[in-house]
Amino acid sequence: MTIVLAVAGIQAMHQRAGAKWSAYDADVLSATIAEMDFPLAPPVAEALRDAIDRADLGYPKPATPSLRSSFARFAARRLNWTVDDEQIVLAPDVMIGLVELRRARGVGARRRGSTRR
Amino acid sequence: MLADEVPRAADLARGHVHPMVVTADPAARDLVTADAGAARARGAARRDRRGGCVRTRRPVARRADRATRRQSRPAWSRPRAQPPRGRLATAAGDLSRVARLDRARAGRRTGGAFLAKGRVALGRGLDYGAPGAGNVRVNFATSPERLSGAVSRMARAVAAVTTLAEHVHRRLRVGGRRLGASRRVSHGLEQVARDSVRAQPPPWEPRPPQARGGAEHQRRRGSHTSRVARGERSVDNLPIRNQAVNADR
Repeated sequence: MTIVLAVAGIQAMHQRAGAKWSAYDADVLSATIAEMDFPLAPPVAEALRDAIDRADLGYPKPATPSLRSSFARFAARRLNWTVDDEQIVLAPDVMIGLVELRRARGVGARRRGSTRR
Repeated sequence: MLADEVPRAADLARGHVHPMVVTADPAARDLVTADAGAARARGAARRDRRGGCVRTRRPVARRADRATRRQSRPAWSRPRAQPPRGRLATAAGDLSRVARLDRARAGRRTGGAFLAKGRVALGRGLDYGAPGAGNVRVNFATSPERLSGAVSRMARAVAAVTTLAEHVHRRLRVGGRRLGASRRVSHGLEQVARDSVRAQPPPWEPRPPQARGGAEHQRRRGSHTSRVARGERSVDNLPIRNQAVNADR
């Protein structure tokens, strides 16, 4: 299967609401924050459209067994990383995942009554 | 804020910015990632930060340092002449002054040279933590063609700033002897910088409208004060400031 990664023109990019392009004048080529210029992957777009059509916008539930095992297989195949799929939890984005990780590990947490900083 | 997203001209000038470049175009990459003299230029920039004389380009030690050094060293080992520096090192010294002018004229939070001269928006390395100091972030989640375009724009920005600095340097050598006080030197630099920008606008920037003389134009444009109040920009696309602000630098 061939994946064609085409990007829209700069004018179309400046129509986007995201911070990468909308913050600059129309003649500026933006290469700042990690927004892709590529279009959304069709299966992802389809899933989002489907959810919106059904107004299926509630809180997320914990990761399903099929999602967890899918990710574990992907990690083993692509990243050569063995993941215990019982430990997989979902996070809304990478930064929140890092914050939760720090909380769980107590890294940098200031303990009450401690004189050390 | 927009201005914080991009490296300031000062960072570029002092050699603090070493663009990390991913490109399929070797020529553009070579142009941007500086060259064999970059390390020398950085050394010169460090000397320059300690304070350097505009005219002789020799570092000027602080008075306390000078006195201490004299007392602690025998006469035969006291430093006399500095070894000559390469052209690139000299240019680096000039660049920091251009950058200072840039700040003086356009305010401290002015957009970076990459954005102003090259019309390419980059991430400022410091925004991603202290290890990012001296780097810019280039997002390459785009097509190879657009990435090459971004790098070309970076190269043009570097070339524009360098050309300006060389121009300033030439004029300084000619007029430097007459300009005594450092204040007058900076004033002269500012004039030269402004003239050179006006004389040769970079080809990729839209040409400013031709200046129109006459009473009608003057009436429509309004007074200097009113242009400052309206936040208008000058022909070289810099904010118009009260003269007193610049004269102080």
